Amino acid sequence: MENPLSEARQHSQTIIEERGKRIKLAAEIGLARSSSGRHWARALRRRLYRKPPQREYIVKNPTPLLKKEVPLVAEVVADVAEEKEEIEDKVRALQRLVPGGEEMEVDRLFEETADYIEALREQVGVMRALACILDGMESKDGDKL
Amino acid sequence: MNCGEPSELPHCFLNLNWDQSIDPNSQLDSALTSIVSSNAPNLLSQSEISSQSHYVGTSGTIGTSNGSLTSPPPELNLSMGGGRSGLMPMLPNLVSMNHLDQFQPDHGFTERAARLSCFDGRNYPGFGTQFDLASIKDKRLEAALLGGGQVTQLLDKAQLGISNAVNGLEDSSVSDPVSGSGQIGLAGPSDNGVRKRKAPAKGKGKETQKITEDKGSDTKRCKSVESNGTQEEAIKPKPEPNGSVSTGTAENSNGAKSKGKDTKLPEPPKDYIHVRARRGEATDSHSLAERVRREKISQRMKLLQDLVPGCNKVVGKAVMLDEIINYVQSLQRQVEFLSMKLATVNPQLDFNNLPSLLPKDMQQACAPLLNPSFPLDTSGSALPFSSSQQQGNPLHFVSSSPSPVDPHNTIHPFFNAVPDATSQLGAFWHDDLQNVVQMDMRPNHEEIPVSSQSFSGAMQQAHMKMEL
Repeated sequence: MENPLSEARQHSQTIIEERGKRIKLAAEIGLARSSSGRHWARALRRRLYRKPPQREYIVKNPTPLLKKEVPLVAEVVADVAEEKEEIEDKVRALQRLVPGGEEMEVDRLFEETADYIEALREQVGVMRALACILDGMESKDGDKL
Repeated sequence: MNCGEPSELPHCFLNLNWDQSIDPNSQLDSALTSIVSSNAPNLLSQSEISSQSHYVGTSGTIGTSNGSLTSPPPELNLSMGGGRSGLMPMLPNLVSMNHLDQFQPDHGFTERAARLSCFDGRNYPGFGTQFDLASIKDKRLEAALLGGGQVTQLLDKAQLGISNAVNGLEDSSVSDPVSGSGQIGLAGPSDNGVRKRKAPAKGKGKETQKITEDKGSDTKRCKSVESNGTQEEAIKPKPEPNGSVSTGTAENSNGAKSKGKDTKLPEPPKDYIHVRARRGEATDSHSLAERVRREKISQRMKLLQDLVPGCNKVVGKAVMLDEIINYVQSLQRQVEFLSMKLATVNPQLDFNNLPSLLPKDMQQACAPLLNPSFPLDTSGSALPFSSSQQQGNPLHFVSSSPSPVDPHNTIHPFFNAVPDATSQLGAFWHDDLQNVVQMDMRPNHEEIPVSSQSFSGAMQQAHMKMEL
């Protein structure tokens, strides 16, 4: 008796997930469009077009350093080799996070990161507002029923 | 009831709904908290964990109603300026910063720039920062307004050359650049004793001329190890009075004759970089270039520091990089989480025409995957964001046919969707619902300058159509 119920639940769950993915894709498209002049935005667009959207569910770009990677000159603030290594690792991690980051040098990377952060914040704001509005409407309408 | 009185809506609507939308969706709540806490293994220190949750908290702009989200400490309202004012007023801030290259002068500019300067003034630590971020940002904006993208780039480069003279200076946001630089120039000598500047005698006249000449041209690399009021002026698109140059405490020196001195002086904005070696440092070209690069990187890191909340306390590149990485990750996760939330909260929200959002030449690659006939969980609620008449509206509901072309080419699918929907309200919605939507849309409309023309166009229509 439970099987059909759980199946139905899974089915609706999948539907919701699918919808979520599409929404996320639209959100990313919007994100890329909002700052089309930026390197990260162009790289994000390329990524969106290149890959099938269903695989985009993972937040991070899974391809590790595909393109030509600019060799990182170790950050000079750290004098010890270990520290340099550590910092380099972190910079590489940041490169992976920011779309198109692998191709950039560190200074450019930071600049792009700053812009990316701002765009992300906007994006989050928009989606939040949208969620609130839609939720509010739905509830309000639900009251009428 | 989520919505308060209509008169209160612009302010409290978001708050209340955030509360109520969070609580019923317990699974989403737990998902969010798990997202937040799942970051714990990646973090290196306790502080990072707390700041991680802070990110979530602070980005929940909606006042205090963060409910299940971790409550932000009062200090971390960096991103929100005047927290209570809600989400929307902040967007123009971010938006304006984003679109400097396209320089959209927005009416929120003054407000936002003022806030930025307040932030920067408050967050200025004793780092020995080398430049006043507020003044830079303001000038960047002003430059963008005046001169466009090129000048903005110029300003970016010149940011690096701006000196410690303005450390602690709170440049008022919309202040006249001349007066701003005047302040900077005059304040230079009385600055913290990091570096003193000599009022030079040699070649000043010549250098002054060089500067004024170079001001006209968009010089690419006007990096200097130390800044000055002169440098600042060189950035501006309009000609500077020579008086401010001479009052400036800067001297421009040729890189060729760099010697070990205890003062660092700025360079003229020429095609190549003039760097003056510090006392006791190597003077060969490699180390000089290296030093310049280092300076540039540290400038950028400071810029990032201001963006990322909670970065001000930490000192050290590694920790700061960690913070930045965590912040970006948390923002990305938020986007993901919110998209799932949008999917669950409103079953009728869907994007059927995603192929149309992408350029046509790519459509073939994505078309088989973006099947427009996904089954929708239609519920009984009347939320017909029907957009069949509106081209370019990606937010399709129920069974409206997707439009193949997006002629508006709006910046954000979401922006385009909702206001277009409001113009359809008359056909489908009850009167008070219309009021609710309109009340919400209006604050959005006024304060989000990034929206496209169609957005404002649709809004105008909506206002005309509907009665409050």
